[in-house]
Amino acid sequence: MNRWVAIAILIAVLAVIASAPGALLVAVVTLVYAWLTRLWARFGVRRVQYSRRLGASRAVAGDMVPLDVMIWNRKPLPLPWVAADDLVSDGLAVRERPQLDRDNEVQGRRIMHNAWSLAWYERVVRHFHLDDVRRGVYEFGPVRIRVRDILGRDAVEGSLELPDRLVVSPPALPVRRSGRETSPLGERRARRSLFVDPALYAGVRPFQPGDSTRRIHWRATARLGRAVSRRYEPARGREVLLALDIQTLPGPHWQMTWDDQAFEALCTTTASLARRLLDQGASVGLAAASFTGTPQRYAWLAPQASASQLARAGALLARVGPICSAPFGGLLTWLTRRLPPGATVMVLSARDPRAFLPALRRLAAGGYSVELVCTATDAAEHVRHARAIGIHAAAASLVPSPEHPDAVVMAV
Amino acid sequence: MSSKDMTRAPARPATDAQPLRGDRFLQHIGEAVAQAVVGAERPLRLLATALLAEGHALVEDVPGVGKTLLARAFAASLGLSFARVQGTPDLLPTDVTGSSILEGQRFRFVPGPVFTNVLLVDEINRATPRTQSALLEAMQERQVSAEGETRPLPDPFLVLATQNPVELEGTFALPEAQLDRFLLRIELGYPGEDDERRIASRHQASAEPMSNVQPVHAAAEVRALREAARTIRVSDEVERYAVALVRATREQEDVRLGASPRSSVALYRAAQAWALLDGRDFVLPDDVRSLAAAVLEHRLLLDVDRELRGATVRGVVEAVLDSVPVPLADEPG
Repeated sequence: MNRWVAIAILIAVLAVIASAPGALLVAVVTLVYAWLTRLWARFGVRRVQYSRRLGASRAVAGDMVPLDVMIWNRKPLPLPWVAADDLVSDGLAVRERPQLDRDNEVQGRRIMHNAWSLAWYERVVRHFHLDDVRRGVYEFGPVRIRVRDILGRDAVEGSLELPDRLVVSPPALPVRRSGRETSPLGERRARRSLFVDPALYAGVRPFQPGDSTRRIHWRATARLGRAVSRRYEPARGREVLLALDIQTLPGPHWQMTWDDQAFEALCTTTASLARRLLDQGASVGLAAASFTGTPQRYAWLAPQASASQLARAGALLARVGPICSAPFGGLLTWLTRRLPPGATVMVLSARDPRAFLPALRRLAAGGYSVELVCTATDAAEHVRHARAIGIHAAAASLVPSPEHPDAVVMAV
Repeated sequence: MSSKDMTRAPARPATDAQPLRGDRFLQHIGEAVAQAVVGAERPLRLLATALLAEGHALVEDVPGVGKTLLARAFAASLGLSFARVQGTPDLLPTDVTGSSILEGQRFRFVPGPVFTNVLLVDEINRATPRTQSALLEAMQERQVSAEGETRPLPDPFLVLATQNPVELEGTFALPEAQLDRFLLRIELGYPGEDDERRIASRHQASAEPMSNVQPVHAAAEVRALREAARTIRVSDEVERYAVALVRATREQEDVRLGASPRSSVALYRAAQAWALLDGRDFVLPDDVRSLAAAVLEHRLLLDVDRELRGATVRGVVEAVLDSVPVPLADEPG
């Protein structure tokens, strides 16, 4: 452009010398055009404020999440055309933008395109709606902003990081039982308990070498004339670990195929059981051999009975993907290093359990209470296989339909 | 599992001529605590508020931000007797309260670490619920019933409990009834860059920063200030405002269990102590606002479905503060 400006000035000088008004007009028009172009190129994106506001940073699958986008031209220079390409994760449905183009630069992102014409100091807010969000973690940003000058030529562009995240948990639905309820969910008698609960006093027994002095019952010792120690009941705290078998199709664990509907049903059933167990006062944890965006091989949430544990479980389930990070049997073996014997391991699976039944038997033999919850369409068959080797099993299904469930029914 | 320090004489004795002012008290302990702790002015003020309002404080934050150091330095600066209990799953109630042992033909009661002025219960959520509940009576009634006998605790008595909200493995969440007994919940947060550099250089210069903390006040002065805090004036408008804030928590749709009437008392008492530490003899609505989060957040139980959708207790308290009108000075009545 500098060359054109120099030529225009030269023409203007020559036009003045030669007294040629036509040439002078051409030179002036060229100079004005150059000035206008430089004006928008220099100040176009300055003091342009773009912001995005998500109605919530956490949601449950099926929710509608409002999304507001605001642009504000905070300077006297009007912007005849300004566009913002906001990148959003794949899988989001924006009601007002049914078609979102795929971005060529950032993988897994789509472009939410907006364009405005802004007067000086004008601010515009647009309201969008993310409809029927699916389970997962969605990222927003960066934003690319482009400004055109008064003649419609691209003047300048800039970009903003503006990161945002939406975590969508699976729904935690009510759990109903179709059969006779024999015991609370997740409670089965363990074969043995290694721990005693000092809250459950069960009497006294003769003092044995190695007993802590804290355990001596001094009053009984004085009364009987010989040292006696307190005796306690075995620990009966309900600690339930929900082990999620994320492989939904038969075959090796490293295969990259999965049944999407079965996987989502598995996540929904897991969240629903976690809610039911927490309501019953159990400590609930979660484990899966899945990639969750961290370097850890296994997704892991330590058992806890606190009120906010369901939110933590929901956040972890939002991150769990359908690709296995390790064989499920390996996860079950790993659990023995994280859980005390006596705890309940509740396995949720959508495939034939015969692939990991030996690992379940080893867990049961190790003092864990093991239960299998089958969520596949042929769950009755899977339940029969598990029961044949003495593993407690139940079939779970989403009703009225897996696509739009409002409850989980457990067939005991 | 527990340790006990002896009471030390204060380095700055009170003068009889002039009663100690709350702001001077805070300044003195601030200077003493600053010998060991960097950049914890608000948490320290909240601890002093809990002490003067006859409450207890729960210090909650991620590992390594100085929760335990702050609690130890605070106790050391007051020259009060101090004991520490480390919460572990095998900690028994008698390890906290004490027990009788047979000596000859008689039983002798050996007091536990709870018989002290400042009790630091480190990682309280690692103790079993039974041991946690053993602290309930001590915290609320300031007495211990053991072996059929009730024994009063020293005066003043302050429980400073710490817990880490991140590590959940092997922990027992504090029940709502016990959380309600903590007057304040205090979060430290990460220090700023300058403060962090000062922390690093201080640890280079001195192996144990706690050794620099000297007691600056005595128990009698604390008791006198506590009495003074009770006399701080609370106008009807401010009182109505505090109660309205507490009641508004019960009407929030994100909340399953709102703040209890005990919270109203806590907010009232804490605001009095907060005003005293500011050198005033009356409570402002701003005092109540400053304390609302620390007093109310840990007492609220969120609705499970709302929590799944990202509701937080902080958001609830902010909504309550936004929704309840602040009384203005020129309002009639």
